[in-house]
Amino acid sequence: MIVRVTQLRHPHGYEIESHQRLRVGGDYLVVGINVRPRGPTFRIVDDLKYPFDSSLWPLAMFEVVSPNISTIWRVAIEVIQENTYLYIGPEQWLRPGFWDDFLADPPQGIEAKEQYGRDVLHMMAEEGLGRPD
Amino acid sequence: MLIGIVAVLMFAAVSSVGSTEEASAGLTPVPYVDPVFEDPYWGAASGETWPSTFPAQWASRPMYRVSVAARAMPPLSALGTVTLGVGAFSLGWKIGRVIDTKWLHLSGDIGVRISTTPEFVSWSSLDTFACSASWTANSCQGPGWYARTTSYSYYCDPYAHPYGEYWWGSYGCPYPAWLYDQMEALPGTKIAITNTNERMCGGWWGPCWVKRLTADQMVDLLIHSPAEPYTNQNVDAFTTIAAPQKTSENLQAARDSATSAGVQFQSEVNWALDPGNWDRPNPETGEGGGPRVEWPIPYWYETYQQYLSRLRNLGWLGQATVVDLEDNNGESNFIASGAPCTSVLSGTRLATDAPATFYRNPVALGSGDPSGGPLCGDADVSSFTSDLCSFFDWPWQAAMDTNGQFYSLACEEAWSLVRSLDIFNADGTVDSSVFGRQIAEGEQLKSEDLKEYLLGIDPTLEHWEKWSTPVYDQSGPRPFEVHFNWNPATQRVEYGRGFKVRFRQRFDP
Repeated sequence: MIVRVTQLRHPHGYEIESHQRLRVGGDYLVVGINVRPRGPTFRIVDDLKYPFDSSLWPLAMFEVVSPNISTIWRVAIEVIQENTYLYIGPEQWLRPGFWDDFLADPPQGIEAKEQYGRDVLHMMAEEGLGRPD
Repeated sequence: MLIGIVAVLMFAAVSSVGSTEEASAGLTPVPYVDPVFEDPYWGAASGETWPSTFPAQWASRPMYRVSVAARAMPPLSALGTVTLGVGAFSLGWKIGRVIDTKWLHLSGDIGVRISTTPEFVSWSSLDTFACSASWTANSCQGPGWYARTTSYSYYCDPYAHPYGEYWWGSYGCPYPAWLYDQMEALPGTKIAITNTNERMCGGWWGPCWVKRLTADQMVDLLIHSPAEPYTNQNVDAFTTIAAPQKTSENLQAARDSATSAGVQFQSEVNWALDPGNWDRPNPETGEGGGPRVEWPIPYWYETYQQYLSRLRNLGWLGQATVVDLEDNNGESNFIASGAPCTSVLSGTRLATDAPATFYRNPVALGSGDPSGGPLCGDADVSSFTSDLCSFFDWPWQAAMDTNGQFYSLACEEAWSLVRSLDIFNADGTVDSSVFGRQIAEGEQLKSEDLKEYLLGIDPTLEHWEKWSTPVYDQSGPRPFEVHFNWNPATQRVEYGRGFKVRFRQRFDP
């Protein structure tokens, strides 16, 4: 899935003109979707790219350019503290603790980082995108 | 319940290792010492005796232009009480906004010196109107002498002293005479100064000399005099003064005037009196406030005593409580007897008398797993210890093992940059520019350890979000970002767990 930025919004809600990681009109690879009570977000590979930097952004900032669903995406539903969450993304990313591992300081989480990298490359290839510089 | 158990265990752990108290009595902040301050002129000017002749040699001295490290309190009592009013900038006094707001409780337009009067110490003779040399006092009475920006005048106040002064062969002004230097330039605006030290009387029937302070001298008094305890300073006497007209036009006019006069004051004083290093006293009570020190990171290679000594030299006077770690909960990243963590987050600007707790490594580190210790391990680290920097792709410990000093400094440099950006406030509020990207939602974090920590602060998991700042590029190949846990419900950052510099990739010396 590829989306295009139509507007940039600060986390506090107001519109901003520029951002280090996104630009209005830019196309970005969606690598996951989070549906939460507070609003759905895309996880996209942003402009910083190294090492396949991804970040979460409200859906309202984008329009869909390529609606393809990655073949490695799965759906997970979780009920946490009486809230229901729906996550869409690569299967390995949906396992509990994946993001803890991914964010852990090395040498912990190396497998999660490697898995993440492989999956991002896979999704890029599916969309016909080359590996970022 | 689990949190309670952990808290109890923590308390037990602390109790078991015991604690020691170290008093800081007798230590004082290192005052700024400027060579000019030792100048003979200044010694005479601040001394108890005054020459009886016109001190012409002083008049030719250039004004002192100084800059001063903000660590010692400007001696407001040297000026007595200073009052600023509406449009202070137009009065010819270089009173900066920092001084206004920090010590005088005044909120006003930025004051800059626009006067073109000579900048040297001068003396004015009052013999024609005041000092008729009657030691019985009242001769120097004369309220109502006002100085204007272009014409100075003064009066001696004999009532300021319980008795007049008789010198053999000469009667002088009542001694000590108080100088009231009241300036009135615009309707409703004035500056009043009282200074018990400014006095000089001539011979029999002779003139009464009083010291005239130019704007620059006024500032010098603030800057060059020895530091004083904040509590001795009268900073609250005029909190009820009417608020000035704070308009952009006035501010711009002040800046334009300063620019046209080539005045460097604003930057000079704003730097000299760095507001970041001072707490403002309570505007209603006048209590509190004072200098602050920026809590430094402990170095892995220094002992607790060395770290403490460094803190004292920075001006920290607070009471140090030391918790001695046992060999199984010390931090092997730090040397024996080192201080791997404290109760104060490094980079915090805190009052110089604020207490702090230090966790001290044992004199010999054991073979246990130090990083898992209950105090300096994961549970209670609150300073920027070495593991609060990390690489995305390389174990930080490996870096420290390779060249600990280099990477410690790199870590400190990164934090110094963060601090200089002034984006994280001590109370957890942040500048809006910190939000570089959201990395994860709170409910996606499954680490029981982290969840327990965060939920102990806010029990709603969805209220926690994992963020990073924008990527900051230092000189050299060391781009980094700061990771933090953000609570959108409270609009606060949690500075404990997960607050760290993350270098984006390995770099080598």
